[in-house]
Amino acid sequence: MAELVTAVEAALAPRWSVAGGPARRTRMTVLDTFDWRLHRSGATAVVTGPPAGTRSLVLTTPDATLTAPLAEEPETRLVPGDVPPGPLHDHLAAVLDVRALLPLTTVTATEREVRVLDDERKTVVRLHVGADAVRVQELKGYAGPARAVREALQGAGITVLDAPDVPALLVAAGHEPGRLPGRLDPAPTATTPAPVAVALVLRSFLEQLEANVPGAVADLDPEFVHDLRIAVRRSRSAIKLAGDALPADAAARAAAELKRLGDVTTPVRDLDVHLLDLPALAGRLEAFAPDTLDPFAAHLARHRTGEQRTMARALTAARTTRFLTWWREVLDATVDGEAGDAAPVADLAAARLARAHKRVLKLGGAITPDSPAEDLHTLRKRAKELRYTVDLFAPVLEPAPAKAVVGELKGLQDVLGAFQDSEVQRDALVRIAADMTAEQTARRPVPVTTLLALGELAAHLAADQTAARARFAERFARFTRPAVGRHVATLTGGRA
Amino acid sequence: MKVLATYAIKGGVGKTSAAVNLAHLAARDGLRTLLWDLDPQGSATYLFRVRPKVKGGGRALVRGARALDDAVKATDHEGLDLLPADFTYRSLDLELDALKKPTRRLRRLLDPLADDYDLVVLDCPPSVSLSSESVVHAADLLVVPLVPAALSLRSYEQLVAFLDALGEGGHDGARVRRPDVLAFWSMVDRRKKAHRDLVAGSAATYGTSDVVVPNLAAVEQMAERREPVTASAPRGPAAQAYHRLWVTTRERLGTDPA
Repeated sequence: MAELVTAVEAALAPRWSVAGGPARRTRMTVLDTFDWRLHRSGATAVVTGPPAGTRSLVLTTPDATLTAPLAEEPETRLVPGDVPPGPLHDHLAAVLDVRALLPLTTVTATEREVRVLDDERKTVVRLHVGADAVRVQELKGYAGPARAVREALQGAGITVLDAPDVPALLVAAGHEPGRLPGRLDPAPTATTPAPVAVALVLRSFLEQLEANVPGAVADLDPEFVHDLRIAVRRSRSAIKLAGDALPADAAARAAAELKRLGDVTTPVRDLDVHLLDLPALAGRLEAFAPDTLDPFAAHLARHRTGEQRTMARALTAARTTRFLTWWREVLDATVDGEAGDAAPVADLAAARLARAHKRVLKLGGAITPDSPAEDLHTLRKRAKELRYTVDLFAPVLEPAPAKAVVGELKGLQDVLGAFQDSEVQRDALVRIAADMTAEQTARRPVPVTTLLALGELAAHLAADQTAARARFAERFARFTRPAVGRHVATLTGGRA
Repeated sequence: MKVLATYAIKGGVGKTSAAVNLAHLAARDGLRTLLWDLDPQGSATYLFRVRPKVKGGGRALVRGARALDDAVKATDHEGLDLLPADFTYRSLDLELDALKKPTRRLRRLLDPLADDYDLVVLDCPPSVSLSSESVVHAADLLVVPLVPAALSLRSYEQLVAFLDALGEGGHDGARVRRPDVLAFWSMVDRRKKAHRDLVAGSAATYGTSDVVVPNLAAVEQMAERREPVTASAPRGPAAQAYHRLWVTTRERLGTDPA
């Protein structure tokens, strides 16, 4: 470092004078969300500063570098609420949504600060000289000097960085920036034997499931439980749709254990959905102020603490670990084993897709304005199965018609989802209101206004359900039009 | 974002010293701080070693041809930026007078900075003018240094009368919101009985605060060292006095340290 400082001084003289500072240890922690939201948006976030001193969060985007002081070092996660109000907070809130930034790697370096001075001995550029590179810190209002200094240093053969090379640090720590769990490896083709293809897809779901367990147990952000449940749902659906391609007893055991994992995560997810939806719900109140729901929010938060503990115990229990290990062994053995005379997966895909599509058409075609709500709920399940079938066999389906079918199906699923979710949510509000009333104490009574506000929301949700029902016929007609049928026929080889 | 202005009708009473040290202490407390040197003499700008030049001059800033943010310079102190003085600020009154609602202009120019700064400190030139009205309208708090002399209190009374008059209707006829006022004693020599008596007797009569900044060489040496005394001699009596002033200022602004 001393040699590099000397080289810097020589490169900048005589145009600029410099003032050197003491060598300082700097500890830098790189952060990103589990699903690489910053990396995907071209941004980086680091917590930096002296190991025992004031720590700052530095967010570098393609357009700006934003800095904010932190009250404390993030040990396990950092959320927008940990950052003072301002542009950096606002940017994080917009990009992260409900996700948390996680510390991914920490490096410690010794740097010497060198200040570049103008003829008034004002600092116009700050340089941070490390072991083999110089980081140029541009100061507000002094872009010109920063540019000139950078050019002078580069002209002298000195390696110049404007910011830490975050991707390189992540790779050095064993991360693959941008990679999401659940990659199909290898990806099946149309001629891959059906058992192998199904096992490959299930293995990718298993990777997604396992990858989300630690974050769910540590309660880092609500998406871990959400994505874990998606992996569970997709696995269960794949077993239901194509599990006969696997050994029978294995499929049965996996189905049971996956159902258990779905069940143990349901209470936390339900509470998360209520809590995340709370601002929108509060905004719908007409007869009451939004803060009337504060006791409701407190009740949800209290229960969530207990349910999180229960879920964490279940996810880390020996039974879960044994199942996940066993399931991976079964899938690996199927992928690597002899497929015998199994048919290619393309045949299985065509047959299952045709069957799932027919079920949707039959059920949906029988629904009239007088049909009970249960019929639409059942149709929603069949529509989900059709969607999962397309997703399951996506690697071997023609992309364009598959995308078209999914797009049309989404419209139908949206209206069926709105119909069922508003009923489920309304029932949940009633149940939670009853729980709150049963649990109230003299010191923590439930205000009557809160119960009335929940009643108002239940009425809004009932209206939502009615509105969704009114949209069903048009959406279903859209889904059953000939153009969609032709796409399905392409995917199923004419079996639909 | 809060705005405080160091203000006095007379010059040489310690406005710039107060502005510079308050701004430095605010930044040290973690508040993102901007010091705007509105005095064409540019003393605060000189203290921070910044060139007293704004591209386009005061006219460009006041008319909006140049955004304030484009003219801001980082000082050598973390969290503290400076909007430098420019000699063209001597014509600020004329520039403001040419605009609609001139007394509101300064506040409107500062508003876009609310996302970037927690505190703006205005170091104002000594005057009673259109610029002064504009500063009064923009500020949440006026920090007014008084030197221990009878004429000083008379100037303070004139200032209070000026603020009251603005409250009835300013330059453009509109009422100006009356900011809070924090008057403190500056350049006090405790060896002089006259100084001691004046300081002791003023609180009840004039509502001055109990903050006293003594007349110390360290404050005068700021111009030689070219940095706030709260940076060059943080443990000395001058810095401690400014720290007390900052604590009182912070309470009056309702600004918690970051």
